[in-house]
Amino acid sequence: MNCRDAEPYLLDPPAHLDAAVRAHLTTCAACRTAQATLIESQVLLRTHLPVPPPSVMRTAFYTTLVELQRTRKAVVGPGRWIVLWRSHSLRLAFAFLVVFALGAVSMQILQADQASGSEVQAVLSQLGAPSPATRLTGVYTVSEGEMTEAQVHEALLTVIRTDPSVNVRVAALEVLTAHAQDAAVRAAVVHVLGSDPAPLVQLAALRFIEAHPSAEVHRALDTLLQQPDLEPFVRAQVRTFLTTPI
Amino acid sequence: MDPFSDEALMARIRQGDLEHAGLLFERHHGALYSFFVHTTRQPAVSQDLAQDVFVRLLTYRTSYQLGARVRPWLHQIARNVLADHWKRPGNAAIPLDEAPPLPSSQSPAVELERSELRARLDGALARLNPDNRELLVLSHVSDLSYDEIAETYGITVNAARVRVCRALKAFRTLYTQHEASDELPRR
Repeated sequence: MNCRDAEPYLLDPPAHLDAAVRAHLTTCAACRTAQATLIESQVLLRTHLPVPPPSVMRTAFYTTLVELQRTRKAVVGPGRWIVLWRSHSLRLAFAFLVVFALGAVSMQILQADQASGSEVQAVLSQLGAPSPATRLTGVYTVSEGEMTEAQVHEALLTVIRTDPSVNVRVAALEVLTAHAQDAAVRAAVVHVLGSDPAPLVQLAALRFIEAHPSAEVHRALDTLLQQPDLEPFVRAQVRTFLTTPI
Repeated sequence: MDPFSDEALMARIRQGDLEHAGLLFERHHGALYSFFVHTTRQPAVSQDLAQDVFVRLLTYRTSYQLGARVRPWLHQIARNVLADHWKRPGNAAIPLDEAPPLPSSQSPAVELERSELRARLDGALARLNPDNRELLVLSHVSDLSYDEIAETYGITVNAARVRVCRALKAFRTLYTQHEASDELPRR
């Protein structure tokens, strides 16, 4: 093998050329220098090219995802019902349902107006809505209302402990990051880290506590690593975190 | 198959279980953002383009072939998104001297110390032809293997290996020229 043949393979020769490239390198100082230069360039690029993504991307993505899930349900539904709509009896049943639903909704609106009228209850009702998109909106607006700090914490901690949607729980953890100075909030997030089975929630909890390392956090992470079915990506993130000294 | 592998997650997304897209986003949005930042040199635009990749992933999820590797597929989408971006009127590459400094993954103190080195690297990378730049970003930021690069571009593994090596050599030449021109006035 001469320099020209070896040149394209100086970095990672394929298996069948490996021995030939190695043999050439032992006899050619110029190619050894070229190889060292290429390796140095690789290190430079790997160290300096990665650019941290802004956190706003995460919020935008999860909002899009929830919106898409909602739209999808809306699109899938009518497609099936249009076929059934041709049935006369179904139209009658539908008319009856509309009248019934309008009555029920009017009653609910009247009751809600009488019972609350306050912004706090409006946000709380958003957090308890059946639609994940509504609950997500509630999570992102909870800190903007008239609620006290304690009420905000309570509402969001309830969401991260009980909400059935992973995306809503992740969003609540992100909003709680602004309240990380509160020891009770930190303790609750550490608890979630060990108890929530969803890898996404575990990652969000890990991001939350990254800025607040403590012996307690390290203990919780050690326990988390004991879980045999822990998602490998989460395991790698936890290990990276644990190698960082407190 | 590992139930949390990219491919297993994508299979579930394909079936309509969109919630699993979150984990794919967590794994890959950083690399995709870096890819767009280095190819467009516009951080704000890069956010939208990276977001667009995931929107397309969700929208065209049924076109994903079960068992196919997800990373090359995602980067194929990213390359299409980038091509569409350049086709739109008014979207042109920003000249190097007008481009804002790119965000860094280093802390401010480390960044200050390394800013000169970083400027040289950015300069050399920006002067590289777009194909070589894209290849270097895919291989050194997205960390795609030669196999995956070959799949992304639809070329052989050996061709991918040779192209990456040549791109790196071209980068090194520009980087060294830049270094030499920096040192010239001091002599």
